[in-house]
Amino acid sequence: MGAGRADPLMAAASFLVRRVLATFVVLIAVTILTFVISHVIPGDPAQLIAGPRAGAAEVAQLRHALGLDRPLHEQYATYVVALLHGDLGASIVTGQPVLREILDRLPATIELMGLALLLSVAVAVPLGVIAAAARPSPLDTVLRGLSTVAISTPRFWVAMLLLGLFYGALQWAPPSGRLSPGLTPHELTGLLTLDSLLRGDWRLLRDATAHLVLPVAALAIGNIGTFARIIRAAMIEVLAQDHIRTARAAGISQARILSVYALRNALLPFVTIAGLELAGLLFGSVTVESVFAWPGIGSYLLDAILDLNFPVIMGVTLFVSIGYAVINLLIDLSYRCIDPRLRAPAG
Amino acid sequence: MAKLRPGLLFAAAGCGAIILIALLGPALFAGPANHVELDQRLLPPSALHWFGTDDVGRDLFVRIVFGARVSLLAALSTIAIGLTGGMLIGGFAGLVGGWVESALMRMIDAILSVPSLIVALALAAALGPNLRNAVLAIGLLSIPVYARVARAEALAIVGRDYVKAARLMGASNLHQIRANLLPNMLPPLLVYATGNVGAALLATASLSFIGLGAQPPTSEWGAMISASRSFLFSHWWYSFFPGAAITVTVSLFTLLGDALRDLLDPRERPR
Repeated sequence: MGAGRADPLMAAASFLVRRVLATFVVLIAVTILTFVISHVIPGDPAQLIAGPRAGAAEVAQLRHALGLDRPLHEQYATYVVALLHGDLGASIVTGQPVLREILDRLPATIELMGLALLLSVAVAVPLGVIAAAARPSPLDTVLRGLSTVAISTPRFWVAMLLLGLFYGALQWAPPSGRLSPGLTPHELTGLLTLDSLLRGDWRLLRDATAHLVLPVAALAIGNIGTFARIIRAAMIEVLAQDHIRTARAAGISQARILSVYALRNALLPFVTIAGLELAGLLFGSVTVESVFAWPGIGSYLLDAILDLNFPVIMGVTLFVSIGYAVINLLIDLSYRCIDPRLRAPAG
Repeated sequence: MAKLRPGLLFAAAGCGAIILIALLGPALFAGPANHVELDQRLLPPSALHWFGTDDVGRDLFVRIVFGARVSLLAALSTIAIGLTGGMLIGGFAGLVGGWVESALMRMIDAILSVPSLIVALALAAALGPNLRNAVLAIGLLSIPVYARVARAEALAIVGRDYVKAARLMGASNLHQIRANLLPNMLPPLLVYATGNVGAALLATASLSFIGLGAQPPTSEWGAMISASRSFLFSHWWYSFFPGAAITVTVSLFTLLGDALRDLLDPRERPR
């Protein structure tokens, strides 16, 4: 406001530097966590990497080859250097590099989680606004109760119920996987809906969408509850502020006040919290993907857990943690662009 | 407090009932949880078997009643681990201040920026698949959350006059923690923890569903749903009732947490 022209820039720059540094610290923490889990906690990491069926000599050879007989700090250094080269190790089951297998499966998870996120926002925002505007009333109580139940329901159970009802009993939905047998996807982005849309392949689009409906719904339901609660709380806070009262006094309609004046302000805190909620969505996708045999990262991780495929377990954990930290960094940075008040802080 | 709060009353009664079931249920309802009757396999719900039977003829209602104790105890144990660790770290940080505090809190913030349940999954896998390890993994990774809250509480307490006076009179850190910090930090932290019972139960049930938590034949709810997967299309009740038990329990504890927070924080701020 009254501040000089350079100040907001400086403030933004120092924010940027601090936030990027903090993310860097997070990345170090992530590598230490995964290192400790994979190298320190198991009695014999070599046995874990070699798999349960490996013999003693094989394990000893692997221990030496992997440098597991060297001091821990040296092992950590080797670990980090390998990571910097994009080396997450090789899968015990397939022998393929873990990073490549993750990247192969990434589009399936991004498509699933992205659509679940979109659906949750599209449903939760109106619900939260309506609940806040209707407060106090039976409608608000009912919506609050529903969102509480939604966040309290295990996603894997919803996934099973949906599959049992809409595929098992009613035969309305296709069983599992991303496509019906016999259909081949177009190799573009790996997002089947987007690819088929770009190629104008309507049959494929319909089939891919039909396969997405149930897993997306199962994944979204918890987030709808959480998001609706956040939006409602933020709206209540905003609606109590002076500028809303002024707008009311000026005779602006309730619909306009809610959708323009209040919602814009309420959405700002929501964006940050929504970024943090990605963690829950990620965890949910592990079980939901497994129920629907969805060939994404979640089911990859789950299969690895069942096979005791340790390089994959640790690789996915690391990959997902880094992705999560980076996404939240981007959200924080974009947040400053979305909110004009942060762009030019009062001097 | 003049007004009766129906929400709080309802949630407290519901949670109380579930805790009672967990405590007394196994003694009140007939039959052990693992009583196998192979000629009673996969029977639908009836007057005899309220929730039906599973694939080896065990009564699902009895198993869910027994499971209340297992599931609730697991959830509460994760919270006990997180709360204890968080109170020690957060309380210590708030009390000593200075660079020790900033270093500790930086670390806490860094771990908070990691998707904790995914890391808990990896940790539980490394420790070996059983309920104790799953509880340990979830509990350890929830420490940072409690440490943050505990530090905020500790800072508020350390600023009070009697604590300053005690420090001036030469009270040791250990004495301060025992006499002033812990007793004053505990009530608000317990309220906060109550709000997390639901999430803790969901997390332990999920790990059991995945196969990292309770192992068969333990009658834990998540493990029961996991066991029911092959019967999803043919015998709906097998997966339905354990999941319903989780949903009802978690909903009630979430409501209780909300109501308690509303009670302490008069500004309406659910979340």
